[in-house]
Amino acid sequence: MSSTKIFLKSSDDKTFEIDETAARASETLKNIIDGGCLDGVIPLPNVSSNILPKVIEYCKKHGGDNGSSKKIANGGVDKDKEILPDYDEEEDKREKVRVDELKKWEEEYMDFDQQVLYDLMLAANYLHIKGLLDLTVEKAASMIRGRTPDQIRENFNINSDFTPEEEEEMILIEDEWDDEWAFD
Amino acid sequence: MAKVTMRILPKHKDEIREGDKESPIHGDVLEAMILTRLSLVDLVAASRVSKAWRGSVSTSLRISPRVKPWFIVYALHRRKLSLTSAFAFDPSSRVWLRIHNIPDAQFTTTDITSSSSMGALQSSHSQHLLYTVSTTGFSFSFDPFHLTWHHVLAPLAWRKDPIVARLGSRVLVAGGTCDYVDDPLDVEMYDIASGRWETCQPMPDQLQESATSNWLSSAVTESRLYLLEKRSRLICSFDGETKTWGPISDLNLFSTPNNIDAPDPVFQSTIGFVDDRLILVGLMGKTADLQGVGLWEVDQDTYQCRPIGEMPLEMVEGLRKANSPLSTMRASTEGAYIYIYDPRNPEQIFFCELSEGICQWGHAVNPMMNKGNAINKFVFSCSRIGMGDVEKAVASGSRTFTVESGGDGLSSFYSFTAPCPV
Repeated sequence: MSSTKIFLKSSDDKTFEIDETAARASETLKNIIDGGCLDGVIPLPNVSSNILPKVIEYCKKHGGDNGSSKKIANGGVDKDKEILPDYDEEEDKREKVRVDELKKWEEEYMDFDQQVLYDLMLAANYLHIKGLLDLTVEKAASMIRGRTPDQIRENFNINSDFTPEEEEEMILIEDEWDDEWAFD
Repeated sequence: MAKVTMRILPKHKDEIREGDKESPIHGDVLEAMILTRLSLVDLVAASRVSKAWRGSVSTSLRISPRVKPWFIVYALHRRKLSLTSAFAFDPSSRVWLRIHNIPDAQFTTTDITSSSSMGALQSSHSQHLLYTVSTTGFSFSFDPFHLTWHHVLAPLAWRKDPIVARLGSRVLVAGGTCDYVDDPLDVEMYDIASGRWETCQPMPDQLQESATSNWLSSAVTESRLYLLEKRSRLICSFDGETKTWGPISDLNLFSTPNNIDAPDPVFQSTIGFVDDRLILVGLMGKTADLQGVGLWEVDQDTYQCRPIGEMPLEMVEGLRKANSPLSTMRASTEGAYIYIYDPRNPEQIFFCELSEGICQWGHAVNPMMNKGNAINKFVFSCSRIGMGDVEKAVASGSRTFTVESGGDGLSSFYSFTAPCPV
C-alpha cells in the first residue's frame, strides 16, 4: 500500500505526485482516499503550484503521523506519558535524537518569507494538516509575542496609519473592547 | 480554548483594508487563528500596530473572549512589608506574567504606621478587595489591578484580622481580635458615597470564639455576606440593607460527591461565589492525610448542600505533596473560577472552572517562585481582566507586564474535565 501514488493538481493546473501514506497526513486527502471515489488526480483549487511542493515536503516527513510536530511544540514533553514506571532509557535517547532531528528539520523547513507563511497556513487549514497549521500559526504568533508595536510592524512590514493624536487618544479610550463583562 | 470553527478563505482583493496592503497576514487568519493564541498583554501591543490590526484585535476578542479571572499574587517583604514582586496567572492564555513598575506607595499604608505590622496589606478573598487597616486609618482598593486606593478614617473599634468584605458601595469590617477591647463581634460598615462609618448589629454569639478571618470564610453578593466557620461549618448571613444577621445554621454535607457509601469527613471548608452560585470547597480526610477535595453547592436560603464535583485524585496527590500544613490551604473564587492554593507558598495553584455541568480542573506551576520568596508574605487577588484594564494599567505608567511562560508549550499546565450536575 505504501507504494500507491496519488496525484494532486494545483490551482494553476500543475500535477504533483505523492505517496498515499504521506498524503494521509492531510485529513482532507485521507477522506478523499478512504471515500474510494479517487479518480486519478485530486484537484486542489485553493493551493498554487509554488505552495503545493512545500505541503508535500511536510507530508512526506510526517506521513500519517499528525502528532509528532505537536509534541515538539510542547517542548518534547508528552504529558500523557511523562513518567512511566518501566521507563526505557535507550528508547528515551532514541526519541530525543528523533525529536532533535525533527526540530532541526522544521527550523530549516520554516525558513521562508511572510507571503509563503500565509499561503502555507491557508493550505494547511484547507487540507486539514493539523501539525503544519500549528507550526505556521505558531510562527506568526511568535512574531507578535512579547514585542512592542514597533517591532510587530517591522516583523510584518506594516506602516502605522495612526496619527499622533489617535495614538494619544487610544490610551484614553475606555470600555472600547467587547470582551469586558460579556457575561454580566 | 475558544471553540472556533475555522473555515478560512482568502479575502477578495477588494476587501483588503488600507493598512493591510503591505502585510499578507490579515483578516480571518489573523483574527481567528493567530491572535486567539496570544495573551491580552500581547493584544494590547498588536492593537497599536495599525487601524486594521486594531479592528482585528477587537474581532478576535469577540471570537475568543478573555473573561477568565486572573490569579494575581503580590509578594511583600515579610518584615519591611514593602512590595518585592508581583505576578499573575491568566487562564485564558494559560500564561504566567510578571507585573513590574508598581509604585511602592500604592501597597503600603500611606502616611500611617507603615512600619508597623498593623498596616500590613491583606486580601479579603472575594471581589478582589485588598485593604490595610491600622489604628489610624483604613485603605482599600477593588479595581482589577488595584490602581486606585481609598484612604479613609479607621473604624471606631480597631481589631486584628477582622473579616473585611465589599457589599456593593459599602465596605464591611466585622470581628477580629484585640488585646484591649471588649467585644470581638463588633460590626461596622463604611459607605463610600457618604464617607461615613455606621455601626451594625454585632455578629451572632456563637461566633464569639472564632470571629477572625483565620477561622471564618466569607462569600459576598452586592448586598449579602455569608460567613462560614471553617471547622465546624456553622453558617450565617448578614443583610447589608437591614444591617442585621440572619439565624445561624449548621451545614450538613450529607455525602461526598463520588463516594456516597463511605464519605470521608470534611475537616476544613471555604465558601465563595462562583458566578451566582454559593459554592463550598471541602478538604476531606484528616489534616495530616488529605483524601480528597469536594465541591458542594449551598442553597442561599435553606443552606441545604448538594455535592457537585470532586478534584481528580491525581491532582489531590499533587496538592498533598505540594504543600505545607493543609490547614493553611485557601480557596478564592471569581467569575466561574475557584483557585485553591497554599498562601504561604503559592508555587502551585489548583483551579476549577464550573460551567454548563462541567468541572474543568487545572493545575499550574508558577515559574517565578524561588527560594528567595521564603522571605515573602503573599497577598492574593482574583480579578476578571479585560483589554481596557490592561491598557489602562499600562497607560497609567504604574504597571508593565511581561509573559514569563506559557502558550501551548506550558508543560506545567494540567487539566482534567469531569461532569458535574448543573
